[in-house]
Amino acid sequence: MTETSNTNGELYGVMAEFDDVTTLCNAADKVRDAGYTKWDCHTPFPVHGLDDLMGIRFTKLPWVVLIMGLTGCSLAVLMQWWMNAVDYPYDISGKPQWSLPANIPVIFEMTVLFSAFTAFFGMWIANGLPLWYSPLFRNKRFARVTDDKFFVSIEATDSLFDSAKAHDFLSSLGASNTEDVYHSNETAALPGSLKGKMIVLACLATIPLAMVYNSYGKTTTEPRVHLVPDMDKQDKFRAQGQTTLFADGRMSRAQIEGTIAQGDLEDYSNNVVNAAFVARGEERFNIYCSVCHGFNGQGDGTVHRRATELADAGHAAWVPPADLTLEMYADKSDEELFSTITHGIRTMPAYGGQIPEKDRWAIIVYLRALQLAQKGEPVDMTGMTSEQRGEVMFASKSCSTCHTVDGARLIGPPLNGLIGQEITLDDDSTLVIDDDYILKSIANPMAQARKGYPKAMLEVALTDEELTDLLNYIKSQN
Amino acid sequence: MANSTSIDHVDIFPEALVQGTHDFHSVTETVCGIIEAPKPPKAWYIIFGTALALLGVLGAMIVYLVTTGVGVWGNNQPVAWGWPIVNFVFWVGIGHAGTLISAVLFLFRQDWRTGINRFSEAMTIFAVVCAGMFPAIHVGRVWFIWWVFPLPNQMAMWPNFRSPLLWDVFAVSTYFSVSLLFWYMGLVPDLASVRDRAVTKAKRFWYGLFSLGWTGSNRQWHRYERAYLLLAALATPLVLSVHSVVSFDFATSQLAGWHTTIFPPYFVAGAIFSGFAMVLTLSIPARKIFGLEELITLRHIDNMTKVIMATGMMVGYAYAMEFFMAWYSGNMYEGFTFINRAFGPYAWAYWIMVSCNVLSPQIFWFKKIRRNLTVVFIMSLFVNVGMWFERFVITVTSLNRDFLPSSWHYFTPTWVDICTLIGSFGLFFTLFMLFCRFLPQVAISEVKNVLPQAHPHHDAH
Amino acid sequence: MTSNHNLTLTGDYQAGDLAPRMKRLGLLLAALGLGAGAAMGLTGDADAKTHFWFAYLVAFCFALTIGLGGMFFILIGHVVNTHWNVSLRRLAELTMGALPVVCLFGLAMLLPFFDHDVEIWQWDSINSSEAHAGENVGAHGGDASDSLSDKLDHAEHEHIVQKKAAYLNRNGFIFRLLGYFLIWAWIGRFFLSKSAAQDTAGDSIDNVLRMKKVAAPMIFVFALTLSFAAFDLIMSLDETWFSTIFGVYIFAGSFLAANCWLVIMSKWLQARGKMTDVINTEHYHDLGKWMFAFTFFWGYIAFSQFMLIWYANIPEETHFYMNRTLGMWQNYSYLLMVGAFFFPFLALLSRHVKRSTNVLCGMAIYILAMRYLDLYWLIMPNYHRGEVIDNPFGLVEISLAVGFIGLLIFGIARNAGKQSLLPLNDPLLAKCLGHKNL
Repeated sequence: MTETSNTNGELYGVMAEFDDVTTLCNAADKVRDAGYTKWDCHTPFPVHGLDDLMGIRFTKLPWVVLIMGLTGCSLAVLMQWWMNAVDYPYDISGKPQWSLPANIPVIFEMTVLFSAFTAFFGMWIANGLPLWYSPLFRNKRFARVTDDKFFVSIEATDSLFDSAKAHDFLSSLGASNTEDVYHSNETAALPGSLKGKMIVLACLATIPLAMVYNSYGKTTTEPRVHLVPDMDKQDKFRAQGQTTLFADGRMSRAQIEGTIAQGDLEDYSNNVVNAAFVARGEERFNIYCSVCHGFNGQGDGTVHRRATELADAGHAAWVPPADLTLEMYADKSDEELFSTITHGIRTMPAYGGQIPEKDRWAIIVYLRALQLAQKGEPVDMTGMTSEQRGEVMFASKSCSTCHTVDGARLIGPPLNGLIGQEITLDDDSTLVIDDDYILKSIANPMAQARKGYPKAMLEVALTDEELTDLLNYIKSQN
Repeated sequence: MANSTSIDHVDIFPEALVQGTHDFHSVTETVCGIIEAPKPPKAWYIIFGTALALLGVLGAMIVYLVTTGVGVWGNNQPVAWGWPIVNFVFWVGIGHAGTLISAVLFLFRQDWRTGINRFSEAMTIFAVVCAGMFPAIHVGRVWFIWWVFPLPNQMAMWPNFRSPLLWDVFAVSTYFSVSLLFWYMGLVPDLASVRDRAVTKAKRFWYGLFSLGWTGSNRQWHRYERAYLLLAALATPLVLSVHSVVSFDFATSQLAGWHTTIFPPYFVAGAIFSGFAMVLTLSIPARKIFGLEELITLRHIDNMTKVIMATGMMVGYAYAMEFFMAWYSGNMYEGFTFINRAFGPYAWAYWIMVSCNVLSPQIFWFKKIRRNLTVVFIMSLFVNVGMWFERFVITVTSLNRDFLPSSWHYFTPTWVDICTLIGSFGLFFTLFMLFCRFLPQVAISEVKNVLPQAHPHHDAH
Repeated sequence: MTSNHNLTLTGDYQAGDLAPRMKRLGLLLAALGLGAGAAMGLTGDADAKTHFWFAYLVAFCFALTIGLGGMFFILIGHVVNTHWNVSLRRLAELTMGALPVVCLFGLAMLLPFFDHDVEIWQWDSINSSEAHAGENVGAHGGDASDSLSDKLDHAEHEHIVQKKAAYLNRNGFIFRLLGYFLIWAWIGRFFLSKSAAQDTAGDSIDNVLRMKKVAAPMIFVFALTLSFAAFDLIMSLDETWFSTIFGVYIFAGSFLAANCWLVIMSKWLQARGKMTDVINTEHYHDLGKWMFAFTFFWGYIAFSQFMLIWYANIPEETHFYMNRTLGMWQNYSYLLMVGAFFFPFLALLSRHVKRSTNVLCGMAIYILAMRYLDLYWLIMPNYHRGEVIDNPFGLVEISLAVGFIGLLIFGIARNAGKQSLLPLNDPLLAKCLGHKNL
């Protein structure tokens, strides 16, 4: 606000001071009517109605904000889709990876964020803010524009501008004071001291970056910094640790004589391998093992696939999980597999703590089934009797999954002693089993289903010869 | 007209928003005078000193927490979300009144917002700062907090956008940014006022820098007002969204007492309720200390108590609906949770909540009380307490009696919990006192706009 | 004492001979609509009758929500001492004053209770099946071919409904319904008569003060009655479903509908030379803003409800949305999302739409149609609940909706001639006529 005439440069325009809103509004109306274009009013607060009097065109800002809002909206959709469904797809509580309802909050926030920043900085740009310099500030009176005075300024660059005329005109409109405003003839260069300070600051600011760059990709033999000592050094007994608490100085204790740990009471040595046990093994395998080894045990689980992608992209190194259906794993003893599950091997962690002993055995049984399924050998049936061929078929065509020939009931009825048996059908009629019934029931199982059994049997496609063999085998079990 | 009624003439033709014989200059003088005074009032030193001490406590607590681990708090199974989330929701809620007053009342053409909007916007920003701190320190390893943002990292991982907690990150940070813009935008013309009156070089430089070279040009005012309106229109749904998203943290779960569909609007109403209470808590002493009685008038206070009463009723409505639906649903877990809330081990907290939030604001039906500053001040404290307890009740009572009775556990906070909460008030008041000292507490240009002489051809009084 | 001394009102604010004409129009629409609907619906088999009553309920709720929205318009105006809506206030008062007529016909919804062929509120039949244990009732009756788990589900379902019998029972329902209707009728009567009395009260503003005083507590009464009426009439159609936000959801739709109704009513009156100078672009702009705001608010509430139920994925709640995404109901759901939210939201963003009164009136009619759709979407999927059916929408729905709009018009016309259409002597009228939007 220092105004000294000897620094005055070029004429900027004429500035008139008004004392109240009403006079200002009248004046604005007249200045506009007089045809000036490069002029403005300056007020301590937005005077309503002045926009119309000055003939200000309605700003385009709302449209820009709308466009940027839609941009934010689309970006949010794209970002979430790409990050959660494409680049890093993972399963959280079974939700679909691309699930629009769950993405709406972020879409909304991004829309508002973009719109708000556009409204704010759009206003800056449209208004030419920040305005580092205005000749008006060189006039002491103008300091009251933010207090209680109202100003009209007409710029010298206006085609109708004439200093003397402008003074008279503005005075006639009720201005309490009019005066010329000059540009400054001083250079706009920054003061030297400030420059020096800024350079020093800029240099200092590079130090952290340089430190980061310096340590990038380096290793060190220094021990790591313990940010959270309580987390790193916990007061607990570790397996191989020392303590003075016990006479033998060891943290781990031997099992107390005559006691048994929880869950150890059961004797697993005579596990019965039956369908339920295999099913349990399948379930446990799918839960614990399939993520790496895959559902077929071939080592192609989701973790492996993801890690391979990352390794291919150069993000990580990866030891692939074993293909458990290979010969070398089929040859391993049950005990060895049990030990691997319990203690882990290479990058595979120990599962002993998570999978109870019995389940580990069940997994091994199921794993054997997987290996068999992959490595099944063709049976040489030359020279077999019809009944023997039927027996092979009984096992290989999955009959034995639901039926037994020892009178035990699985899912379907036992198949021993069938011929001549009187049974009740689903429609409550009765029937005596003969060859014909057995053959029909294999070809079209549910046509005459037996009461009391689930209607679960599937059709089995067999040649006539195979059917005869199977029938003979079943009959031989009478 | 009967004087015995609690409604009188004033309610239809309210008294002027600026009391006394103010003109444009005296408004500038009153507000800028606070900043320009060589020394702030004694009360300022007392409050600022206390706040600074509490801020020190907060700092100590955070250092202790970070170096030791979140085990220093009372959080444990089954109450894994203890005080940190309670404090977070409490502060975020308080942070709602500012934008509500600025934006929603602006859109509703409620002129009385002008006296208090600057004040409450500042309060909003500081409250959100306090709020944002709690989840950040709750993660334990605070140096990993940047993982919540979708920034590329060496693990080639991205955040899970299907998680309500991540929505919170976006909602609260958007809210903070937009509130900050809104606040700053309103400040620009007022900073110019301070700039134009500044006598020291330093003040002229800093206020000049931040007032962006504002010349009061009407061509600029035109775009400024339009942008302000746009920001208000954007901030209004944002206010709704922020506390709705906070409520999603609870309500998307399957836990009885948390999962109920009324949570989003109920949380928003509660947030406005607590925010207005905090504005009252701050403005009643501030107007006295800084001599702003003529700009923040009894009419402002009166209106705010009415908003408090209205939002208090909404909160009460939500309490009633929750209770009714817990029974109506026929779901045994819902039923149990609500009986447990009202009559279980935390019944004391529940009844503090109900009496502070629903019952006590009912005294605002009486005009005499609405204009009795002592009572209003005390009531505003009640509401603050009640709303803190609301979050406590929601969080703790729903968790402490798990589905598995063997896990039932009576949650008690540790001394670190308590000191952290108290310390967060230190942070809040430190920032607020700095604001009071260095920035215009009342929106100067907006108050001028509601003076009668601001309108052309007004009848001189 | 009032600030209206300088106000000179020169327009036509009396309904005059328009009132009997409106009355005739309303009666004609009501008779034709309800008559045709009944002729089509009530003469058919049990299924057609059930369909008729569901459609009747939709039409009733449609008219009811318009009236209740008008009530909120009045109450909130008094509470916050607003001035912009004063010139519209009498129209809202008349709309709210039509509620007794609408509700009287709404009471017909009690008839299905006494018709064994028709089952609207299934809790009623479940309750009575408890009374006659073993008797198979309605859609839920145990079928011999049901599997065991179906039977268990059914038993569980009945068990839950029986737990609620203290609330969901026939007598309580009738009693509550009568209660709501009486309360609303009283509120409507009170505000219309006080406001009319103010017209001739000269300098005294006692009537206005009295209205302000009553309005505040009445908002609370309004909130509770509207919520519980929404629970009773609509939510309990699906007797095991519950949502605490439901009252707010219906409220959001009601206020939106009322603003649209006021736009249409003002345009209609102005086309007939009434109120031409007291309802101007600024008032339409404000109504447009409310339409915009409540389109958004309704969307917000609807989304909140959907989001929480979708995310938590608890079967006892999700079946509500399952039923509405089954078969062709899915189309309704999408139509509702786009038609009732996205389109009006984007359209009303524009200042031009809000200030061009003809376009705004078009939007108002459109949004009212969407309000009908919303209620239809809430109510109708309970007809053949959980089954894939063909789109039931047809002439029955249309004629019943026309009938209830006729009733609403008749209800309005009944009071329209008794006083002016403008609160002539309201102390804030001058301010109202002078206000401008930024």
